[in-house]
Amino acid sequence: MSLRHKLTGRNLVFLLLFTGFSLLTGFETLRRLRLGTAAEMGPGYFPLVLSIALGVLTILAALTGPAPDPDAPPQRLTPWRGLIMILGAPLVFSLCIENLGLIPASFLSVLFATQASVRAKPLESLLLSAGFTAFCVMTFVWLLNLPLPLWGPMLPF
Amino acid sequence: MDFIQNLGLGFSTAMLPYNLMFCFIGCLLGTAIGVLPGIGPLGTIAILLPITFGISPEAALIMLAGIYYGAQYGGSTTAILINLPGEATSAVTAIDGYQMAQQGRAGTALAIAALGSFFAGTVATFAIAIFALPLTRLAISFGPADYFALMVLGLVASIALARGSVLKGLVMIVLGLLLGCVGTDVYTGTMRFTLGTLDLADGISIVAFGAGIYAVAEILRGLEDESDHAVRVAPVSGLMPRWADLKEAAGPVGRGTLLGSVLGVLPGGGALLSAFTSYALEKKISRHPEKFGHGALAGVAGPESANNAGAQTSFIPMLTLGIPSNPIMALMVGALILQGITPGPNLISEQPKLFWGVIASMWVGNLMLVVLNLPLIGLWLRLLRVRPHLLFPAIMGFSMIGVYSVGNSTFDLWLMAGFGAVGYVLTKLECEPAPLLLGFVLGPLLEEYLRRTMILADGSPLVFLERPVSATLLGISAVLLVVILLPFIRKRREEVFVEDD
Repeated sequence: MSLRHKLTGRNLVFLLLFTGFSLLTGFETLRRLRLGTAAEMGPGYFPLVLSIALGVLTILAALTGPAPDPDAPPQRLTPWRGLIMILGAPLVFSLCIENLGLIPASFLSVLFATQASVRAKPLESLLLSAGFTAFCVMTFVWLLNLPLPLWGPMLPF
Repeated sequence: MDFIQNLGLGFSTAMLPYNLMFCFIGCLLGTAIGVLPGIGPLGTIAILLPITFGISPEAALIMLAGIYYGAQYGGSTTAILINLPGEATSAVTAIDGYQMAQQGRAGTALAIAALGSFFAGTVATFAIAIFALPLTRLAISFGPADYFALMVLGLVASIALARGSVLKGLVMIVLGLLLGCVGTDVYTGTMRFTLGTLDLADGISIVAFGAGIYAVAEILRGLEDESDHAVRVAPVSGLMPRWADLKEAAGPVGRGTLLGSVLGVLPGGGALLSAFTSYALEKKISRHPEKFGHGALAGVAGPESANNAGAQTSFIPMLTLGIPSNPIMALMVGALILQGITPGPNLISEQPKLFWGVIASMWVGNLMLVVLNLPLIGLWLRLLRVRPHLLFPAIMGFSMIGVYSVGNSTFDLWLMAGFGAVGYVLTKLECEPAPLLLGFVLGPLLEEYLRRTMILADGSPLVFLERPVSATLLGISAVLLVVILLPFIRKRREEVFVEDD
């Protein structure tokens, strides 16, 4: 199998991503951290060794890995809607929790997450978010005493 | 008889109503997530980790342990009835268990699986109690070089037993170790890779990391394909096994228990390896190997006992040495650290109640699980009707509240989303997340022991070969690495795991 054939698709993404990361951490280590010696390792010694190891292993893995199978079915990827709603939900929660409190944060972020699925129905989503929030308030705040404010300072009450 | 006294202390701790309640919650949750596809014990433990902050350390560990071995029971139920292992370790059970269900022997398969697991759990509980003390004494004599070597062996073993490319597994380990470097350097106080923010001064939150890699990424994968899959559940009848079945299962159960107990202790071992090895063994020594794959009782009894025994004895290295042998144990270490307890050889003398309580609770939990699983099987099957699109938002909700509540840090929520994306990309690149998590948890320890060794040895790496323990352990690691990189073995490995898909 020729090298060129191997370095396509998944293998290429893998190679670029991980060598890129290894270079990034390697340079960051050299730029900011003291290396020290083997007998007296500085904060940069271990990270530098790891960065080099990461780069070398990545190249080895990409070159020796199996070449992509041309007959394999195309990669299935999560639709944008799912990606945005699922990865966005924690951000919604983080924007709400400090100012609005646990109840709005939980309700809004779970409602946000329900919209990740193409099967979501409006009423069902609302009920699920409300039910989940009620359940969490009962178990986490009342039963387990987690110190989370139910309502935040930005609300008028 | 030291260990009987110790077990007595353990049982008196485990039987406290407060601890019993959390044991029950753990078993209940474990069974539920074992039945449900799409969320496993790792994801659940990652999500619940922060919540354990509010309860006592004993109760926390008892509950998390219950989730782990409870998932083994729940996973086998769906493996047998719908050929869908809810949990990776049950994949082996599905091979013969589902065939038995097709032949109308679902009840027998379920009963043997549960009773075999219970027997294995009982034996493993005693095994831990007997071997914990000697192992701890041994551990105290370990120097930093030996610890370093032991961790290297654990990391190498974790990829030897995982699926997928060995080199990619190594890449994942190194990446995990690098992520573990983030934060304040303990020796000099220097900030490393903190991107100029104080939020990372204490390192990457293990809870945000775990929830992102295991819960969020798993949900993203579930959303790839939302088409309907018709679920056909085999009818369950005859839950009382016949005497002949019990006699037939006794041998495999005994061998599976022994195998699981031994393999569970090994670094990188645990439930998954035990189940696969037991199946291979039963098939090899059976007088009717052709029956395997067509509903052989031994193919259910052996692996089910082995996975439960392995799940339990994998606590030994974590409790006695403070070294997690698999990602689940890594999260348990995280739970202990959240409570301000550093696991290690001193745990047994400093926290005897915690140590023996957790061990005794395993037996109690196993008893609960038999009761929970056999008569209530219909209830669990109803869980399968919960639509995934209603489950995802709830899992997200628990993860978000959990991650936030550890440090009241909104930054951790962003990290969780970020690691969710990273975890998803990794699965697309066929990289296993398990070695990544193990590397991440072991990283700081590994570096500390390395630096300590090097200071003591004045920078000479030969010290690792001069100490017999570390030399042996590193030797085993090297042999293991060479062996799994050889093409012949690699092929065999693929054969073993091919049945998993």
